[in-house]
Amino acid sequence: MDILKFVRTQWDRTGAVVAILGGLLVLLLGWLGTSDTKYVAQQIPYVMSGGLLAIMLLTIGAVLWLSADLRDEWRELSEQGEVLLAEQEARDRMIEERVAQEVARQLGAARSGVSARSDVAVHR
Amino acid sequence: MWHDFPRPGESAPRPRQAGTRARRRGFPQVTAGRATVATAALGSLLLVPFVTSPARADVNASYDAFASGNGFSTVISNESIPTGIDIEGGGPQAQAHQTSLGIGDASAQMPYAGETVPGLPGTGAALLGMPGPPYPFIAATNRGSAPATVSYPGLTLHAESNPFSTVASAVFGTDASGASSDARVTEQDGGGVGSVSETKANTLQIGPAFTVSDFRTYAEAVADGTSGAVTRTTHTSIGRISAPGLVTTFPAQTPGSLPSAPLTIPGAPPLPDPPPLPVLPVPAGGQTFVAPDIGFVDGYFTMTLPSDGATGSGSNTYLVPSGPVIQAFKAAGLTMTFQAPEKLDNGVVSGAVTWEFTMPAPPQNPGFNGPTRVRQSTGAAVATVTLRPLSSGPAAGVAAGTGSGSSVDSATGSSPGNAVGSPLGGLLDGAAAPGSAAGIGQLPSTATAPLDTVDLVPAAGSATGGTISFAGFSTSSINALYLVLAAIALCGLAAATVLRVMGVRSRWTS
Amino acid sequence: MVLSDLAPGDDTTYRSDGASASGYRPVRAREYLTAREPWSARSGIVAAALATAGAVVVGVCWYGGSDLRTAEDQAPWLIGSVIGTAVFALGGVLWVIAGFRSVRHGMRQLAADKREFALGGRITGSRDHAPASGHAGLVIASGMVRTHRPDCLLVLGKQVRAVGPADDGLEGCGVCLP
Repeated sequence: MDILKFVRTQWDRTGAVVAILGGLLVLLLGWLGTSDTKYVAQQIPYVMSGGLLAIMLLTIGAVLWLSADLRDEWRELSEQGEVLLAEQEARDRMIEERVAQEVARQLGAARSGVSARSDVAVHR
Repeated sequence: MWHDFPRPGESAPRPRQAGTRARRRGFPQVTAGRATVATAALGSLLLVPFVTSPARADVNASYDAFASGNGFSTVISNESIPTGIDIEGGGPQAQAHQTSLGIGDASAQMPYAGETVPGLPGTGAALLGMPGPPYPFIAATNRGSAPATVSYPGLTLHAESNPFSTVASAVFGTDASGASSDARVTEQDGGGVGSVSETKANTLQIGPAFTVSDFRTYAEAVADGTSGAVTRTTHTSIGRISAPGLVTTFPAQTPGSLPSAPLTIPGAPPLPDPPPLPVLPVPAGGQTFVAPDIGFVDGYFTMTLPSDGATGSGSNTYLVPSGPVIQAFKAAGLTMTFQAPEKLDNGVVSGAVTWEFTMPAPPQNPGFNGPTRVRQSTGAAVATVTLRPLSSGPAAGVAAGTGSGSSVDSATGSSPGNAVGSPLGGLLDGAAAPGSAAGIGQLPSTATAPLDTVDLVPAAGSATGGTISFAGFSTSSINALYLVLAAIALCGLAAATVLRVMGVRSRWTS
Repeated sequence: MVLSDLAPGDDTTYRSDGASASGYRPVRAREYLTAREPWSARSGIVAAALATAGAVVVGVCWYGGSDLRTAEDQAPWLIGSVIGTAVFALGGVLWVIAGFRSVRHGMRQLAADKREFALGGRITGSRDHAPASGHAGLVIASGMVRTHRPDCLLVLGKQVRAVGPADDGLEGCGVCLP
């Protein structure tokens, strides 16, 4: 798959990577800013815009990645359920066929005078 | 992206609770309620800073600021003066000294008489046992005293010491003719401290023939309240130097403008950049000006030509090379020099101009003979601020070894050992007044022993109560705080990764 | 896939009335079959509101505190921005917790349904309300060579047609795994 398709389908993991990289970059820039000055009043804005913003970006990245995994797991649940429903449908069809066969057999037997005897137990 | 699907109908009977549309009574509703409460609680916490934030009027720093404006001074040397001393007079002078420790001294005096002479009448009276008059030509106040004004015909001295500012002004003569000095130190709203001094003189008679009009010298030093960095501003200008019959000839040049450099007075210290004026164009070579209108701006001479409407720039003031002007002055008997502004560690001394001329010897007489050398100089304005912000490193703008001692020393100067009696004219000997000493603008040596300074940190509760005190907070602890925040962020990221592996991935078994 | 593969995925034992030993009965709609995402609108709104509020608080505190002169004046703003960051992180945490709970509930539901089916019972699901799609519910768009689910991202916004018998033999999409 090319990059665009990957980004489109895995948008949340892509966003997570971008957010985490951005957070690390902001963390580094904030550190450079605080270590650059010797006055506390000039460092505190860097702490706010660098450190806390980095925490927020990393939070976004972690949440996006966990959301991606949860979505994938939800999809697997969904698929398993679909399989279950498909099996149920198959079983329903099989039962209907057996019932129809038995009905036809009994009808035929009635027309030909043979007593109906069912050797098929249908359980529903 | 997310949406609610309706619950599919459940048709078959089953041993389980059926048919009810189970609204999510679980997580989101409960969470919404809890989140609302939590947000309200957090929001009320946010009000705390606004309730307890302190008023921000005062300067939260330790500082020492000084401003001094010195008027013109005259030094007279003549062989007939007894003991070979030079007679010196000067003034008016205004000084303001303010510190964060509660010192706010303002003084305005005319002429500058040092520190001793103003006290002499009292001393003399004490020695002689007689009540003596107070020194008349000084107005001085300290922090806590009422403003003082001393007025005489032709002289107004004013000094006031306010809680956040110290102001002194001395006016001799009038605006049209005379001199004035202003000095002011002010605590600013942003937490900085500004120190400003200005000296003006008008219609000064220099020598027998020259008149100096609209002289101004200005010095300002402003220290930033956060960083302690000092911003210096200085400016020296003379509106007009005129002499009847003064003839100035500019050399012939190739067509075009005169060379733009050098325009400075030869031998002078480095000058600031020239003012943004055009260079005098000389259309056809050498040109002679009679009684030109010569000005002076920060070390560069200017000439204002009569307006001819063809300059196009709206101004007819031009920069001129200094050589011809100085030659013209010399031809009239006047030697002019300029001391460039001096940048101090914590302030600035403005430029000063000196004229020297020699009065010819009078006819032989028993009293006063020989030529008299006269040196007249415009006083320099001095502005210094040393500010040390609280909870920060060493004070900015102060080099080791100078500290604030130099500014204090230059204020006091060295008092004369003995003084000639009459206050009028202020004839003193050898008083090292700023701006009037042998070297114009050369302040007393700043290489004094550093004063012992005491770090004073205000009490933690000095502002309105409930604030967080950063006393004890230092640069390194902020760095440590930042590293802790970074560690928290990275630990959160690691925890999310572990949660992924343990909580999401591994639970799917089939 | 055969029936024996559909054994319950966890160790929960079930009572005779169909509930688990702990009394759990999936009472909600089979959202693992019907919902596209494990989050509901409410959880999304709550998380977004907290995150927005936290971000706004941080922005305001940074703006307000960055042009003050002294550290003491900036301290309240710093505290406010830390609180804003905590609120923001809380929003993210709530979002993740909501997802985990949904997935866990879905797992329990699926396990219960598996057991129900194995005992011969019936379950109902999206089939009853599924939009009319083609053979086996798959679709394909012109120019494509694989079959997709109707909600596959790769057919989003494209003109799809139901997969018919003529498309037998086409491979399934590697993204939506039909």
